[in-house]
Amino acid sequence: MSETAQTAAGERVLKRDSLLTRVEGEGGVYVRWEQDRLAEVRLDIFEPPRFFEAFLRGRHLHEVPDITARICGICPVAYQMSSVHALEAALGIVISPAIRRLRRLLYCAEWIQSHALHIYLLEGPDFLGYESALSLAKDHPELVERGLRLKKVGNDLLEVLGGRATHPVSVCVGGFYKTPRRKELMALHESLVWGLEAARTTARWAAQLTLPELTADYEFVALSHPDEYPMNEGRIVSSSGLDLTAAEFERHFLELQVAHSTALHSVRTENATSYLVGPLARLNLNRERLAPQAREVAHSSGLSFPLRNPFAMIIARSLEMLHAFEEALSIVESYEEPAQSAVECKVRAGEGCAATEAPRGLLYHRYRVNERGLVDFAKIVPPTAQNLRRIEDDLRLLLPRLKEASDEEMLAACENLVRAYDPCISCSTHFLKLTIDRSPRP
Amino acid sequence: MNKVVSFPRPPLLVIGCGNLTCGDDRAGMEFVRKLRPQSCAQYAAREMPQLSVDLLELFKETETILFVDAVETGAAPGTLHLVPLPYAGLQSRSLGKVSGHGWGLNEVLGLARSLGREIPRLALLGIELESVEPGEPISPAVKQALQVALENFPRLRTLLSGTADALTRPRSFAPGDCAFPGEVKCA
Repeated sequence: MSETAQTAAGERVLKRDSLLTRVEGEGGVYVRWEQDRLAEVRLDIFEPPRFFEAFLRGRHLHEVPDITARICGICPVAYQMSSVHALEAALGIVISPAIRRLRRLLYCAEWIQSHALHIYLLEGPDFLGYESALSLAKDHPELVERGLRLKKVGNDLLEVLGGRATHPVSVCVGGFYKTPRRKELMALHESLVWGLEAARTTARWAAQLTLPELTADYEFVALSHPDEYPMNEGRIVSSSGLDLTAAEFERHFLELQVAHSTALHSVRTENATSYLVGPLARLNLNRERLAPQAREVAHSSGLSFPLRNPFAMIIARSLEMLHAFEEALSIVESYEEPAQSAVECKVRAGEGCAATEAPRGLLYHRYRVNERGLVDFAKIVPPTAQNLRRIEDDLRLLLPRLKEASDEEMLAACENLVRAYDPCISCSTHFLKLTIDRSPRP
Repeated sequence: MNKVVSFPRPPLLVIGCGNLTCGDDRAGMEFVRKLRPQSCAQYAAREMPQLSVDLLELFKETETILFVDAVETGAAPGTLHLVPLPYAGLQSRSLGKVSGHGWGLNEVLGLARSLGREIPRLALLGIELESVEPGEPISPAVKQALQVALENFPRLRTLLSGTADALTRPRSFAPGDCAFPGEVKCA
């Protein structure tokens, strides 16, 4: 439960008096003005720590993909992918090209699911002047129906590949427990063809949305691969010139504890500055490797790259969803059932790390396993945590423009900005509690 | 092009909700796991640990949805509550707005209405919890309640598959009360 209390100093303070057991995460924005000066901005994260890295210690490496999938109900594939790649690195396993393609297909399914939900049901209403998807649906049911149907195509694909649409169970170290039959995938062909067209319409629609003006000097960080739009593999690159292997990640990116957040913040080690991961970073660093239709829409829509407006994340997501449909169709059409669903996995002591591209950005995992295959150490750096410091920086850019605004207007603007990131801390729709302290400090 | 073979849709869909790792919060999930092996043309059972907007798609697949979830009303642990939904007087642990992106049952119903979608008959089998401590096993009281509910599931199915007014008022059954689910009028 949460409530807003009034202190003697006139400051409204959010209190939590109990913790929910099924927490998706909740956050709040604290803004303190001293007269006209923005004195303090915090993105408070009060979701209880979930201790997954500790849970994993002592568990067998084969359990890791299924345990880590439980970190998130929206992007479980990402957690499975980063974990299996890291563990395969630890064991010296090289997967077959067929398995590699199936894993990209799995990631396409998750990007479609996640991006469709966010574009149409969470962020889209903001740009069309609606309070929520419910009110948008009353006036524009065709938009919401399109979003729901796009998401369902992702769900169906995930169900075929992963056994179920949420928390798939088919992924294992070395490949898959079970690979789909060709006819199972081809049964989705028609809906993928529809989805491709609907995703192209979506990308063109998103590119012409009128977005709030805000420009930030981001350091974009994403995977980059010479031949493909990044999902499972690639080097970690940044707009400031970083070009790293996953093994070098922890030397250049530092997790910090801050008092107001149960999620760690991430900064660049060299200068303690924030950086941006996610669709906007991926697109800006990899747009030439988009699939042909997505690339064509990106180039013909009058967009000026690099996109530096955080609200343009909806455009990046839309282009990535189009890319995911193009790639999914290509993989499905050329799919041949692999002779083996997984390569042999010989347990040995080792350490490995990997980064993959979750819908919300770079997701880094590192594991150390012993000779019995038990996890001795686990480290997980999720994309939302990496973006928290950056979100606060964006709020600092946004809020001075709003000093004359009412509390309600300020709340709406802060919500829109945070929602643009699609943070996985929880409900992107109206999840924020805004505390504004306008009382002058003594 | 391969065509998807469509099977007749069962008239009743049982959805188990909750958190498998938190004591009695797993009641709904346990219920469907025990029920699922016996699924037949008359009903299907599936897990949905927490609600999401995907629930909307399931509305098309059946005539009646029964959610099974842990509840906390202050009654004795193991009490069974059977209520038509939506019902403001009883909040189950999973059907509220605690789901991903704020999609609780009311939000999904609101979206369904906005889109003009047909809404199936909805009901909740709520199992009064004793403890939802992380890592704890299911309590003996809830275990017994699950047994009573499972043993009487055929009658519950008949009740829910009956006429539209078969379940119009909440019903509660004390722990161990084998009268559950109460009077069943055949359609």
